[in-house]
Amino acid sequence: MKRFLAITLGIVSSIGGFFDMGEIVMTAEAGARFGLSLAWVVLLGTVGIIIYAEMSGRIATLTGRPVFDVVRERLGANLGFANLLAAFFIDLVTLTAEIAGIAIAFELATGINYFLWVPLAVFLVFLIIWKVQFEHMERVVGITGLAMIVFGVAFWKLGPDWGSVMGHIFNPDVPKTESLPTYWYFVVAIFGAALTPYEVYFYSSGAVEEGWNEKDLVVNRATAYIGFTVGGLFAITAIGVAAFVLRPRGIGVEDLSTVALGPAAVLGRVGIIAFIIGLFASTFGAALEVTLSNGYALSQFFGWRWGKRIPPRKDPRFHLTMIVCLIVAGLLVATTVDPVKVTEISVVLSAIALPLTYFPVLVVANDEEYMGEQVNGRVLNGLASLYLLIIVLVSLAAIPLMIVTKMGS
Amino acid sequence: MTDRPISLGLELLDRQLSDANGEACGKVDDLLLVFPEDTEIYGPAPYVAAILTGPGAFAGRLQGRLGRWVSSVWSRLHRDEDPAPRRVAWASVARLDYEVHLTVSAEQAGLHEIDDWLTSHIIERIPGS
Repeated sequence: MKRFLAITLGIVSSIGGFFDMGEIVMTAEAGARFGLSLAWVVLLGTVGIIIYAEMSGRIATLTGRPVFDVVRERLGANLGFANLLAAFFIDLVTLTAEIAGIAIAFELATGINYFLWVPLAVFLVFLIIWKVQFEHMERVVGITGLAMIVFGVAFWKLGPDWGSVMGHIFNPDVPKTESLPTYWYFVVAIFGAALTPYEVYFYSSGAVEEGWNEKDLVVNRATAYIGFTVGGLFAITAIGVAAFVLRPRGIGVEDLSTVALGPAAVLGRVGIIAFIIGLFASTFGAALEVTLSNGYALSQFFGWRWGKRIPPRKDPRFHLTMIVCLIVAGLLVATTVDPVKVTEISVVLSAIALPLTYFPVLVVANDEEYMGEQVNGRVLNGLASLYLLIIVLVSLAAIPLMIVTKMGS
Repeated sequence: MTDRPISLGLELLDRQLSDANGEACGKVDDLLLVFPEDTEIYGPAPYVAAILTGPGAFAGRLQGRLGRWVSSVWSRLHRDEDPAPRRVAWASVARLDYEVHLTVSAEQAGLHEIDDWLTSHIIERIPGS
């Protein structure tokens, strides 16, 4: 039973971590502009996050050392610090997007402008971080986040010809209305959204928070594989719904209410309600994870005590870091930045910074002194190395593509 | 401890410090090497006298302008006139694995001050802490 419950860690990581603002916005844009021709990137990204989350979870389980601990040790003071600054900044941008997402969910539910909901959104995240137990937090958010299955249901009800869907996914052709660089820009952005580094910061630290040991390696594998697969399926069906509902009508994604049109058109009122619940749960879950991730990253880099399980007076630096991040992100939302734009920026920045996080994980997962018999197997290593190559290529391509396409516009 | 030689750069620097109660209390940000007969480089081998930890020691590791900037912010905020990085004597090291385990508590090593200040000035004023 304990094992069974522990699998919720993976499910919440998949929903709060995988299917967050980045996915919601990028999948809708991808479907609305490119049909199903970008869905393969979600598959590619999902396999990548599964491989690296499993490794980071295995390292944390066996050695008690989450990702940023490993980053500091393997990249050293200078490069490690550069990664810390980049990760911290990207997390702040991501947190801004997620908080806007929570507030927009309230706006969609009540009709009251989302700016007025920002203080409540920030306060709710703070309250959970300050007061609620890690395990409880995960379960509640994970279960409500399942409402995003609304995209799956809607896609299924649309009743597409499955053979042709598969054809479009595995034999993508770029719509004539879009240029090739723009297409590749979206490839980079969707890949970045799938592998956003905070997912592994949170995932590996969560393994320590829950006190995993060698016996939990099964749980680690199961949650990484099942959890992120569920997240990936949600994302592919979200692209499908946008491709079948928004694209034929020529609707572009300018805000989140456009995204709601998909489920609404197919399932009516129920679709809208499920979307709003799912939007709230997934952005709220992601906001928690990103906030915690910044606390984890800074604390692990500088060797402070950290842990949501530890009372704030015992690890003040960890908890204060999170409070400051929440305030800054709340203020950023209040500057009337466009939430969709902020989300796009956060996923592209993630894509650029990916190698600095994933490289040390791969190195330590191969270190016998740490891992003993649990070092990477040969097949996994081959796959992980291939992914590292893709990650580096994506990172290198991101900036030129961003400039050439003026951020995909 | 074994006789196995260890690499200071790879196996000591940037490792986690863990106090006598097993609590995290900083990183090995830098090391203090002492030459037994001073100035004579070709004399007896130098030894590691202390682990340096905290922002002052970390800033010294950072290259270029960023390092100088972190260092000057740190000394400005420090209550001493001309602060030196916090030292943990090598004699307080109990054992090394992927962490550096100390024989003393964080309080005894003087590594608790920032936490204490933040707790009493900020954390305790937030309801429900």
